[in-house]
Amino acid sequence: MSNEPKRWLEDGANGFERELLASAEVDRASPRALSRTLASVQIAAAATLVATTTTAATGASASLGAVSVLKWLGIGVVSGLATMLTVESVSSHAPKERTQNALEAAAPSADRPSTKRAVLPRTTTLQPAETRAIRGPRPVSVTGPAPEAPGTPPPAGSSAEAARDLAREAALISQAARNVESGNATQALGLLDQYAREHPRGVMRPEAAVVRVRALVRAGRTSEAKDLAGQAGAEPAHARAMQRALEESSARK
Amino acid sequence: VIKTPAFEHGSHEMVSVPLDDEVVHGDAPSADKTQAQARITSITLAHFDFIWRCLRRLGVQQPGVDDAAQEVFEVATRKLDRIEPGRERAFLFKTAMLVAQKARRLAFRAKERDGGDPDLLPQSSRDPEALSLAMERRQLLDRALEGLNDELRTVFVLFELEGLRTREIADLLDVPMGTIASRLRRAREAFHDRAEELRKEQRRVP
Repeated sequence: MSNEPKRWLEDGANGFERELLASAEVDRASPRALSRTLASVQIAAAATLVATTTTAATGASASLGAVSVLKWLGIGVVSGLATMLTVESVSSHAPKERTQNALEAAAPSADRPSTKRAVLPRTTTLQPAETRAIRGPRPVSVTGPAPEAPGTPPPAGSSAEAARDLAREAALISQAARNVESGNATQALGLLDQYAREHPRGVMRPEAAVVRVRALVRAGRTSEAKDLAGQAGAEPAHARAMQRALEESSARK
Repeated sequence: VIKTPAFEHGSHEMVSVPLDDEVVHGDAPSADKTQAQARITSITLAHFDFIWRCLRRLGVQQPGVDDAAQEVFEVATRKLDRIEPGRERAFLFKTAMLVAQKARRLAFRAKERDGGDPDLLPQSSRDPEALSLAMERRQLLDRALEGLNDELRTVFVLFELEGLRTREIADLLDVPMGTIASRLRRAREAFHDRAEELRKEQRRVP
């Protein structure tokens, strides 16, 4: 005979208590939240692997120099881009980082992380077009105003579909970034146009915007790149990445 | 292609998750990349919904639950090689407890600093006319759960709301089953008392 107690909802709770317990049914994660987390952890996993490899081989930390190793491993420029953005984020969000380190110190099986983190900027804001994406990500907030845009319900679908969408997003941006690096800006812009068409609400729109600025610079369309980079509201890390692309362009002239 | 189970969506079938170059060119991914990404993808797909709900029910308020959940899985990613196979959920849950504590502290400080309660409801529900009974009850549930300390709340949430068995909870929290039974009994008493207070408060409201 089992000693397992019965659930209160089945037996024991009064009517009011049942209503309260049943109200927890509304607690559901959105597919978008899952997609974003999947994107973040996949990039972080790749970057951690690369950082470990780099450290073992050369003693160097995972930073901007890891990009070439990322390519060598076939992980892709998107991961490198995320690493770069994270390096920027770490330097510009020191108080949050200290809190994070305290959390990690207390986490189970805790070892201090030995590498820079590759973390996709967090956001719950929905915006329709890639060019608006650079306004999108907002800093972590647990008490801020509700961010949901009216009339933009979360996309339907299972976690598997969300993961597939995410993989397609990452693949397109990764391929576009590789094209930029190899000097094929036109093809990169074509891929970014394809990304914007296929993923108007994609979770990696901020990263796509950064790659687009770099592609425009490489294509000699500097004024368009400046216009895109100059749009207000970009996350500081993304804004600096775009600014760096513009500065590199000036330096080449 | 990563083969991963879709536990949380009523199906145990393996689903394929194409990654990166495979989508565009059909290139074979590197073995290391596949291994690390496959494991964290599988863990995330299997446990994201559970962790998200637990964070919400452990007191993280909207709209911060998405960020808190992401934080939990980011920590797991960085410590992936330290997570014992089969103990993923325990690791994630313990991390979620720490993240929830931090989020509650920040929310409390913000409340003290800014005054008033944070906006707990989605924007679409701000119109009083649009507030559903379910959402009102959900807010009351938050308040009732606030009456339980962390130990009692955790066991109450896992047993009554998540439907875990006491053995699973004991395993998750690394405490004896007798302790779980005791905490559950005390948690129910505390919840009952708090719910009574709220019910009386509701009756006083015209």
